[in-house]
Amino acid sequence: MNVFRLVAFAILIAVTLCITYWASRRTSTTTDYWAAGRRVSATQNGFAIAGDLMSAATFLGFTGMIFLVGFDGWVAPVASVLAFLLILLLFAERMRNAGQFTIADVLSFRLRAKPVRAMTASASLLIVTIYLIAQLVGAGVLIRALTGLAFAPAVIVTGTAMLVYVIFGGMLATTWVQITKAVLLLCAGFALTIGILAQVGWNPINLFDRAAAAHPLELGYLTPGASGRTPMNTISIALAFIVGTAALPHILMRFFTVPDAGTARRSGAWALGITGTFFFLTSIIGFGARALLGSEGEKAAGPGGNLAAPLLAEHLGGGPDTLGGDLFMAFVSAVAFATILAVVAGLVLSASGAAAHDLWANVIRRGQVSERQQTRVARLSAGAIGLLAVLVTLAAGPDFNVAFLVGLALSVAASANFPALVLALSWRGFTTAGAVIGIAVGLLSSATLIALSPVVWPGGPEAAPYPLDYPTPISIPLGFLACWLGSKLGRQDDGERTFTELTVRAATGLGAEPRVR
Amino acid sequence: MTSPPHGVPADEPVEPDWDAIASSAVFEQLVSSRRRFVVTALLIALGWFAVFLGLVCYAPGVMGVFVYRGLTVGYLFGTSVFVVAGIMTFAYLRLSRRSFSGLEAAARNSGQAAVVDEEPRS
Repeated sequence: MNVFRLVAFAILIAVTLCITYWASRRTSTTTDYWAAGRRVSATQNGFAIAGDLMSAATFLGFTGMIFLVGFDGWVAPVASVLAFLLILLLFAERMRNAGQFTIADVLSFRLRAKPVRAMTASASLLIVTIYLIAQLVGAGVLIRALTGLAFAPAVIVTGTAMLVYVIFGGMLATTWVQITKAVLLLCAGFALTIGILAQVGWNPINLFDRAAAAHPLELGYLTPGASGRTPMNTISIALAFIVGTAALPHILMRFFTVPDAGTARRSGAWALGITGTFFFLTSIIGFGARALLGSEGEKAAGPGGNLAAPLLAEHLGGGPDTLGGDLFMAFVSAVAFATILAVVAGLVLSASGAAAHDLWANVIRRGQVSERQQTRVARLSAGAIGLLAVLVTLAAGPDFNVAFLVGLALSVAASANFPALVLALSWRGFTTAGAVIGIAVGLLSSATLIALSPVVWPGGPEAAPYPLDYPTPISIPLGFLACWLGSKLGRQDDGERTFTELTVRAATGLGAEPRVR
Repeated sequence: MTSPPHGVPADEPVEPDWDAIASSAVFEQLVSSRRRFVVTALLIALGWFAVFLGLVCYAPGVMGVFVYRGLTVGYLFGTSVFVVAGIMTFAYLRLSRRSFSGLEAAARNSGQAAVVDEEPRS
């Protein structure tokens, strides 16, 4: 077991527990618990949102992919930045103006609330729980790889920390843990970049040459195609990352934590700038890992090249078994650990929003609940969901295929949530039937196609009935189609409120949930 | 939120006249100009990315052209996607500050004026 890394992790947990304690003193109402009292500033929210996307999966995963296959690994990060443009232009302000705590608030605004809320909350709960299990498995594997701690204790430690943050600190704690981690991640990214540039004579062009020289394909490493991925597969990945990321419940939930729509807009812009910078840097870090670690580093970097970034840190600090190497690697590893902690906490919180606010308070109890009851159920549901996720993770084990889980979460978000949200906000003719059927079809088509895809279907890519890794080229259009058909063919009804009221509220901010003093 | 018209008890919150606001000139201007910008910006940014993706998938040779030593067309193109996204973001923020915010405030107030001028509802 590496002492430096264990100490770094311990310091990190201590810091985040302090944040949680501070936040818990300021969290009592439901608005505090799910929306941090709507007092988060534009910059803070921007960092928190960026933090949600700069997870271990993206930081380690993207740099690892680029390390292994070069240019092809850059497509997903580039696509992810566009997701933020979609969020900024389509969702940020309108969500803040039209909702209270969750996506279901907005979607069910002028439709019949019960069925729409139930459907939306169930889809969101599914997306978030799948993502959560994927992150927890990843956490266990990463901690085991970096510290020597076994999988099960690693998962339990992560799960316990995550539950403490969410149950006691609510949105305020998870926001500040995200901000801390985002800042640390940016620092780590810049530190790695500067280290790499220093090694190649401060000329990025040298980096390309050296990276290519360290790969069997040589110059082919710098051009598309080194991964052997088919065109349709590349398109399906791009669709999943652009459309799916734009509809992730735990990211959209953060737009309710700011005082008003203008702040929501600016925070979206901040998030785009921060993630854009960071995902641009992943190209330098990925190429740098290739240039400096070479093909000899591939085995140590593990599947998907996930450990390329920490190993690169070790190399830049002076190499294995040097003080500098140990320290730099400990720092980058701790940051990777922080990203997991922050993201899983945010996921559990948004799951509790779907379970306690949407399903329990509004669908089951029809809104007849007190503040205290709702807050208590919020904390209870967070605990229950977190515990369940940890147990499933322990049962699944470290070798569980998390790639398909993340793909499933993104695809369901892209095919079920995104079409319904866009149409609810923009199309007068969208009805309750359209929403329910649209979300259901989006969900079912994603899940079915993934089950039929090479990622799940045994026997390899040739045997699988559905040839692509992501169902998005089919499931997203199906989702939109189902929303449209359901609206045209189903019962023509409205909820209590009208589309006119929704558009006025969403566009002007009139009647929006106020900031809490 | 909105001040009650004469005859209505002061503590009773008055629902804004959504239809009146929606049909006001400021609101229509707000919605149409914002929609115009969003559609244009998304067409440009997503369109540019679609070209990037299309070339990566179906013309990798073009992306593989070396501009200067190890620097490829593909890498420049990818960088440009970030730049385009950033430009659209700045443009949206600036347009919002300059015109949309003002229109939003005017639309909110047009609702107030409509309520105050109306006959008190029983």
